[in-house]
Amino acid sequence: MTRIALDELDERIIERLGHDARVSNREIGREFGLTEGTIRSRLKRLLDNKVIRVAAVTNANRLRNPILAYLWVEANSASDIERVSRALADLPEIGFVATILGRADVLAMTLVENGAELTDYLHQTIDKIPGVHRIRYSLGQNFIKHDYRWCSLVD
Amino acid sequence: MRAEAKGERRGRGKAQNGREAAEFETDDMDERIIAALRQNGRIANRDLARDMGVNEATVRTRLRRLEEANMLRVVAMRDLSAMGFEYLAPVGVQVKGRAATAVGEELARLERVITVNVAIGTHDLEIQVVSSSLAEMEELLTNVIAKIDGVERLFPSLALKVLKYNPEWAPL
Repeated sequence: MTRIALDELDERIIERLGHDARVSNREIGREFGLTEGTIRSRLKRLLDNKVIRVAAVTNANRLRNPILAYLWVEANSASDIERVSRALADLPEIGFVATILGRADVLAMTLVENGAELTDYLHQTIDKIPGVHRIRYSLGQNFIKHDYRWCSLVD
Repeated sequence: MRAEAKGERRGRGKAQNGREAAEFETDDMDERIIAALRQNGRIANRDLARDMGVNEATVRTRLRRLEEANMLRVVAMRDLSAMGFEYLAPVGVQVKGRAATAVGEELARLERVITVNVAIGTHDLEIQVVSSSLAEMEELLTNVIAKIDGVERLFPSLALKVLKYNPEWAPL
């Protein structure tokens, strides 16, 4: 992806929207002493070039007892890794997927409410993905930090 | 990160840590507003109302109620690589001689550490570290994180390709 250069105004807009992205372009313009049109075109450029994404984040404590399951997936063979990682990324319940060096072939993350739910999900969904050899998991129980200001915008 | 598919989850969570966010039971309309804003956080209330077949004031009121109860926030998320962070390392941390939570809180203060979880499993903490270069990653792991009191061993991995990273929830 071509990288666009960001100037100070872009940074300020991103920072402003990092707290509350429902603010109108006119309101940001007023705060910055700029026109609504300037803000609108800057924002369009940031969104079109996939520098930022604006979306709702809900509070994790809407779940009774949220557990973040880290699934460390090994593929049957090296040639299966790409297919396995794509299949994992297609699952709506999974919010993070990356092929990795080191601890496994693929890391995927999902949020569950208890061990039984995780077991079901592993057996009924993940194990059935062709090319999955073995899954180890670790469970994150206490969210000390989850910086929602970051994401990956993948085509 | 668990998505809507699993999502017959009404707002039944309790405010944690004694925080008095006035939580309430969300209904279908709240859930539809949340789902729409997950797709496009900048959609105007007017357009959202039209799509849902209700009036704009209803959408505005519902949204304000969700935000005030701290159940939802609409934010800009920055793409890691567009912001220059090409390296993402999921790292397991083994802690010794200090509470894992205390070590986790110290790690959480580092800007380059974007997630910290107290974990059950092989390691005491699972964290994610970002950097703009491999040299910076090495510096962070070897000279910053490894030197934090209580950090015994690190079990790092490095993302080759991030296929998906869409935070849909967070501790708000």
